[in-house]
This record gives sequence, C-alpha cells and structure tokens, in this order.
Amino acid sequence: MVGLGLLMVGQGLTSLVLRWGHSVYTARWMLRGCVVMAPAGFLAMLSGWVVTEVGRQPFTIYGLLRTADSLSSVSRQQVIGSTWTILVFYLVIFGIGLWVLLRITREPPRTDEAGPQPTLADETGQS
Amino acid sequence: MLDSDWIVLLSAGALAFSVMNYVLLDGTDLGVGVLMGLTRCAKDRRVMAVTILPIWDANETWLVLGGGGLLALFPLAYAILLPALYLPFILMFLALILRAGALEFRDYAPSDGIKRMVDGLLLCGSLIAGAMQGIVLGTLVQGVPNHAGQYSGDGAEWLNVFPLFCGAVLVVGYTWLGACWLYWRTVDEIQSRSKLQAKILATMTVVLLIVLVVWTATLDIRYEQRLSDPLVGCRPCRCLLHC
Repeated sequence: MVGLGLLMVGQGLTSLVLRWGHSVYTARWMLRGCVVMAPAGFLAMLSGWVVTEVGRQPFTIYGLLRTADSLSSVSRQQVIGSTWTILVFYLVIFGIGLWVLLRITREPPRTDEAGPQPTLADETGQS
Repeated sequence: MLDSDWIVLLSAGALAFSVMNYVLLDGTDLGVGVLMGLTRCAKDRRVMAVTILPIWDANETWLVLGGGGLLALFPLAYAILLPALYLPFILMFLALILRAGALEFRDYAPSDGIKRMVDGLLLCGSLIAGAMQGIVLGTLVQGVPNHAGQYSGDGAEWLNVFPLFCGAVLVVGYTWLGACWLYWRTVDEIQSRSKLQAKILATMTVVLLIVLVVWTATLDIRYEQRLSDPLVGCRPCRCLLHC
C-alpha cells in the first residue's frame, strides 16, 4: 500500500517534469507506465482494508470489544448464503462494469460524437 | 440541559423525518422503475428513465441516514432488529444494487433486446426493494421476539402473512407515487397515461391501507385501543372495528 502510494507520487512528479519538457503526451514509456499503474488506486484501497481488518484482530474495537463478543445472533446458514450471493453479485456487476469501461476506452475519441439532446429537456421538464 | 424524554422524542423525530423523506423520494423512484418495466414502448421508457436519472441516488441516500440514525440513536433496537430482518435487508440491498446498475447502464446496452432485459431487471429490483421495505415495516408492527436486549426468534418472522401483505401494499403505494411523478414530469401521451394509472393506483392504495389499518388493530389489543382513541384514529375507524 505504502509502496503503491510512493509509486503514484513518483508517477505524478515524473509527469510534471515531462510536462515542463513538453513531452508528456509523446513519451511512450511514460504512457505505458500509466497503463500499468491504472489499477494502483484500487489495489492500494484493498490493501488498506486488509491492513485495518487483519491488524486489529482479535478486537472489533481495539482494546475494548473482542471479535468473539461482537457476533450477531444470525444463523450460520444465513451468513454463508448471503456471503456467497454478495460475492456472485459483485463479480457479475464488476465484470459487466469492466467490460463497459474497456469497450469505451478502446474507442478513440471522435469529433462528431452525439451530445445531449435539447428536445429531451422539453419532454421531461416542467412546462 | 434537555431531559432524557426530550432527547428520545427528538431522536425519534429525526429518524421519522429521514424515513419519511426516503419513502416519499426514493419510493417515487422505485415506483417509476415498476412503471418503466411495464411500459412496452422503448422511447417512452427512455423518457421515464431520464426523469429520475439525475436524482435517484440523492433520494436513496436518505436510507443511509435512516440506517445510521437507527444505529447511533437507538443501538438496542438496531441490535434486535437487524438479526431479525437479516434476509429481507440483504435482499433489499441486492435489489437496490441491481436497480442502480440497470438504470445507469441501460443506455450502453448493445441491442434493443438486451435493453429490454435490463429494464426487466430494473422492474425486478424495484419490486423486490419495495416489497422488502414493506416486509421490514410489517415485521416491526407485528413484533420482534427479544430477551434481555438480544433477538430470540428464528429469523423467519418476516415470512408471516401480515408482513408479506405490508410488502404488497407498499409496492402499490410506491407505484402510485411513481405515476404521480411521471404525470408531473412528462408531457403528451405518457402524461395522460400516468394520470389514469395514478387514479387507479390511488384507489387501490386507499382500499389496501384501510384493510391494513383494520388488520393492524386486530393484531394487538394496544393497537386497537390506540387506533380507536379519537385523538389518534378517527371515528369511522372505531365504527369499523366494532361492527
């Protein structure tokens, strides 16, 4: 997490230096690096969660409430069932989201893209 | 300093305020979702989606205040209610996620067939989310078994007939709100159709609510006394109960 943070700072500073040299959009090695760094924020966030959740064990509230004492009276089957359902739901939704995102990024920008339709405002606004 | 009665009253008022806002605002969005799923014309569905697209997530945020408020203001009630209503709440949140995904991504659907399917998911999500909220309310009115600050039921009280009926009533009520919203925000054909739908749904909601109030009064003697109090309930209510 800390390493990724430093890498992100480094990426920002390098871009700044390249910008002063007017080559930030043309330096291929930098652009490749940006592609590699794309999931860095996501990974750093996940590692942050792992550090807090694992690091505070065996406490839910550090020094005050033990994890064993903070169990809810929900049955085991319900917890297992809901965990699997949420997992499947997230994988499907992240999958579709990633697919849409990649489809949009693959397409180079054009000048003749359709903008907002002014007629829509008349159909859905107050008269 | 405020005495504790006032603090309880103000806390309950704050919670009631956020729940009321949620029901009025996001209930309307859920109702539009139901009506959208039942509309055949693709162009009309797009107009209906556009009316709620910029605002639905802001409306839904009242739910966060309601949930957070219950935890912060009434932690004991939270600890008893959440285990009792674990499955309805999980289903409600999954339905809300499904709905949000369908509503935001429907414009990216590669074909009309898939778009129709996405709107089908929006309909399912809206129906399940509304029904689960009604079920939560019904279970609460019916009473949650508890002992010494701990939930003591088997996690299935919400499957009784009364909570399920509350779920159905809330879905009809939400759809009514949705029809009213569409009457306000659209023009021409969709508007006149929404007007008709709103009239039918209003009648259904009122009839179902009367049944619900009478049923509530028969659940517990305290409800009956409270509802037949001239200050709380009205006289017709009392007549209905004693005939």
